[in-house]
Amino acid sequence: MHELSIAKGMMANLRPWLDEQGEDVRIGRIVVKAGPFRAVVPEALIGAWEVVRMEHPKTEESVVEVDSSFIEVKCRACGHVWNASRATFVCVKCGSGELEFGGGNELFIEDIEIINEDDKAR
Amino acid sequence: MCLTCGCGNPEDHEHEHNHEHDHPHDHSADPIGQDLLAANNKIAQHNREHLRKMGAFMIHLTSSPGSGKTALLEATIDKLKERFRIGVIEGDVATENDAVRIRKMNIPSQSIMTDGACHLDAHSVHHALGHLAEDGEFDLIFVENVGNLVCPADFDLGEDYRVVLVSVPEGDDKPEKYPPIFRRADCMVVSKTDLLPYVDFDVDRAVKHARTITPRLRLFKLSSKSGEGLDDWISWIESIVPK
Repeated sequence: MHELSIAKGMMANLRPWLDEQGEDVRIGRIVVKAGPFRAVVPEALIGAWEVVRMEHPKTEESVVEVDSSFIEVKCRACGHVWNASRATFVCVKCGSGELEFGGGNELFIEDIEIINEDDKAR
Repeated sequence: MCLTCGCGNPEDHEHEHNHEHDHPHDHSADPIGQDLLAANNKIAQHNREHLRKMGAFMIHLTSSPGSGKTALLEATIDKLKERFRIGVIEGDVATENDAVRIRKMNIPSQSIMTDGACHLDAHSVHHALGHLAEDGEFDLIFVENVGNLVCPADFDLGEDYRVVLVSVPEGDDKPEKYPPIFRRADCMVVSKTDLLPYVDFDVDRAVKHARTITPRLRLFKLSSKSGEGLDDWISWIESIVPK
């Protein structure tokens, strides 16, 4: 359940920016990009955020949406390249186990939806 | 000011150092695109700076519960205690059992009881380093994380090297089942090799999959109980720790 720590980390990233926004600003949706190598369970992060969001008045109504990214897998035997939602160890085209992984380490806020557009300060 | 090491509260460290140069002020940082563990990573970097000032080198051991982390520490300390001043930080959900085992070898050991948390973070290690420093000076510090093959993967503690153990009774498919912890590791130790005759553990399979995840992964095969393979492990530590 490291998602609670990740949710707290998200608040640590957001707090200085939130403090600089107008009084009436409220955050609606926060889209988090998460790669397979970060082992984030979307439901667990969404649930953890429901606790942590109460630490700042501007996020009390906010919800997290997880945008899962992929690992780019390359087969060294046949050259086939594909996107996988989790680490895989057999080439989907030729069956070789000689693979390379790229990416999949992402974990960051991709987009923030501000509810009160009139007070949007960014 | 941090009470444990006097080097500034690591949770708020950017406000404590002298600003003799201009740089973007953290308060205006755009949260979009920042790693969600940026705060932990900043404290981890601070731990590294703290270790350099101490003149110490830190190795982080992580694995499932029961894979032999503490036994490996005991065997390692036994071989290296005359050469290096060693300290240990022991993470566990409950009990100081592992720290007590280390203290019985007359080695200073700080216990971090997480009370339910499934991993250590840089902040808890920062405090433990501060307390450890009260016990003397160190060349080599080990951190043993909470036994867990999932949650510790993401958290940089400020270590110089991260070592993941897989014991042979656990099964050779651990790298396939738990890729993230191998993605962030520098070394893999296949432990309890004295049990290989009694279990179906294909070392080549485990290594192949672990190195698919992290090609540069350094490998050790050893038994802390029989001593088989320990010399390679000890030689590697001797080669990386500045002395």
